[in-house]
Amino acid sequence: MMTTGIAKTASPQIHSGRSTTAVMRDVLIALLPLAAAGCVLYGWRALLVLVVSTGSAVLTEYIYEKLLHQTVTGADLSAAVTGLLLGLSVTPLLPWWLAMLGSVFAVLLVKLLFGGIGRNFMNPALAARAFLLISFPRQMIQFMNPQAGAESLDLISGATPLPAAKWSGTVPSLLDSFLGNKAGSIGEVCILAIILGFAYLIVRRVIHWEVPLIYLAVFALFAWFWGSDGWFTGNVLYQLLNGGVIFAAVFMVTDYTSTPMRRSGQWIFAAGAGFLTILIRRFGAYPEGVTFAILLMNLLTPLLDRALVPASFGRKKHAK
Amino acid sequence: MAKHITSATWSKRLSKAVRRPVGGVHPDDQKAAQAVATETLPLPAQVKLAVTSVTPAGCRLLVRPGDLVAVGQPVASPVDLMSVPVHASVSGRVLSVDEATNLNGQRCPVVVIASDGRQTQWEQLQVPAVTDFASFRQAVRASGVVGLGGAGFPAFFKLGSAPGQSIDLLVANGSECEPYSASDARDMLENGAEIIAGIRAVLDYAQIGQAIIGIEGNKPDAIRHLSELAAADERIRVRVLPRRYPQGGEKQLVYAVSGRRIAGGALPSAAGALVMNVSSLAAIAVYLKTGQPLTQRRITVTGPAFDRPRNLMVPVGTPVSQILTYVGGLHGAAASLIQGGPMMGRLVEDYEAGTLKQTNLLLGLTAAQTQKQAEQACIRCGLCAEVCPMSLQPSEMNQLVLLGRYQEAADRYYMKDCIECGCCSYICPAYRLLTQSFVYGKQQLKLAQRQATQGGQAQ
Repeated sequence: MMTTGIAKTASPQIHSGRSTTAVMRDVLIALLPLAAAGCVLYGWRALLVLVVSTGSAVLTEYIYEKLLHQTVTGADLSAAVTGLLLGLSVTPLLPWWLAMLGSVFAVLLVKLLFGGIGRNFMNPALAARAFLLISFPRQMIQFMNPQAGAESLDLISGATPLPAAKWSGTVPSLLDSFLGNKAGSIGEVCILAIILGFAYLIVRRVIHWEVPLIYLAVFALFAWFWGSDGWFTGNVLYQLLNGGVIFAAVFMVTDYTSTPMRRSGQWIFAAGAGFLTILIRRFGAYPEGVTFAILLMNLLTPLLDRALVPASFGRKKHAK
Repeated sequence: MAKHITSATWSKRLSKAVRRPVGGVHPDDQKAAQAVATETLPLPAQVKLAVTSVTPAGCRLLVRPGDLVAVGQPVASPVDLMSVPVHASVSGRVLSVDEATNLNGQRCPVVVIASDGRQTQWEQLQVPAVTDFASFRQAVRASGVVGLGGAGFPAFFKLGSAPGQSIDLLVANGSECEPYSASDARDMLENGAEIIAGIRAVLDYAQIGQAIIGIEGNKPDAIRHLSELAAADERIRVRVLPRRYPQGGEKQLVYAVSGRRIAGGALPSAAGALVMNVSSLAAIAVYLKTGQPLTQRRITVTGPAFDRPRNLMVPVGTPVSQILTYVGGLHGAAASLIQGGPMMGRLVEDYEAGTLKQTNLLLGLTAAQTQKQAEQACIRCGLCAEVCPMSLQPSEMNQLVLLGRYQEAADRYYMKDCIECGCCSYICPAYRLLTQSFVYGKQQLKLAQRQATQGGQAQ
């Protein structure tokens, strides 16, 4: 790179002090309530998945950078965020070696091979989740009911509320859905914990509040349109509170690297992802649409970034 | 743009509300020096007057080594259309007039004068006879006043060539948005009457209908004082500006007080506005009243590397080392001295260089404050674009500059509109040298342009 002429001693002389590490640390802190809720609900199995996914993500990056004699970037905590996000978005019954495989896929194939932090064109955690979903569907859709006490096979159910609603019709109450007293992915079930994380990210100014809300609003609108008893009969609250919509709204739709850089692009991204999510849920082969909806929109990010360049201050429109 | 917008429509658009700033950052104010009264620096043994000019060799030297000069005597006078004269700031003997590097790092002739300690006034100093716009403009030029807020642009040139045509608003810039800086705040408190007199002179002779003094909210004393003084003239109003850097940039300031947007590369006059620093206005008023040109100014000396904040009245051209000796030097290992604020200031490399007319702040920062982290990869957080007061796209521009695609950065992303305020580099969590790369990219564009025109001439 031609960096020789850029003066390092030139102004500004001071810095805000907020680094990438600080941002990633904030995301990790925001994820803590989700991880805690998951472990309380599903016990040691959830903890094992989270530890393995996070640990192997960090380790993968470390080994890769050591082998290639690159700067070790583990301190920026982004690999830990990726691993934890993946762990939170899968079932607590996922075998540990699949959690590991998913993290290696996310960090090695999606992130590092494309140039490392800031260069991945897809959300690594979501891409890995899609990879696991396609390659290991049996292990990925085995869920368990929450249980604080002893374990038995009775506790393990094959279906989360979403497929249950789609095919059989028995669903948990709204309160249970909100608190996470249901079968589901580790970090996605407790809406209360997600809202706590959301509030923290807003207070710390890591994300813009309107991006998750646009995603959820568009999702809710079409969830209402496409009800099971015809037009405008959809159970919006139920659709919102179950599955990974709210989790994705806060932690996936707001990802820096794989979503547009400018606010206008982020709004379009959020709206598009919300629409695709409910489209897949309602008419697709999968009961949940979050993963593929956001990955599809990730592919549009370069286009949105390129297309929506505002004119500079005081200028009417862009010249070229 | 200015063609179909008359003064009348502009005036209608002026509302009481101050516009919310576009972008900007909020570094810690550190305005302790605002509360410190100005003291006078003991007369330096010699001064080094940098003869800078807007155009190359735009000034002619009037003295030679060995000449005796008095305070206020011009040592260089302009031969181009834009530059202003330089006046001796001490009385004594001229030692040398050789070319040297000035405090801004530019090569220019430097007049070194050994002070005789008497500060004899030049006998030809006289109150200028000002009757109309032309004589006013000439007087402002003869005063040697430049933008004292740090830019150093000749004040007279901003007045334009004819009165009352397109400009209907004078904005007196008292925002002083750079952290630590306080010399304008002190001027508003200590020389308020001169500032008002300067504003009235500009309004009268340039036939401008109204003036707004823009002051950031962190200077309540100055706001109160100038509001009282301005009450006597209904053409002059004081506006309290939000505390946000770079509120004092001329485009940002004009937008805040009037809602008029000045595009990158355009001058405030394109939006019917004239922006002048409050200290410059006071210096003009002093010249009109006494005939005393700009030979001294207030410099704030502050920052954690000094024992306490000070405001010093200093003859123009005083060597920096002289000031450092007086205040007891920089404290702490590897502390660095910045000329100007921490956001746009320059590292002082040569402590023997003389201060310039526009030097308003000598800032001592500790090694911990100025330590630059290694650049990391961009995480596309978009903060740089959010804080850019010019609505630019620093991340994308930076990539293009690193690839050597300067023209594309200018065409697609308006890199030339960058005002180099430093907000993007300040906020970037990956510590990327954003502003710095645009400074470099713009230099490369200028270089390419110069080569292209020279090539064209050769053919």
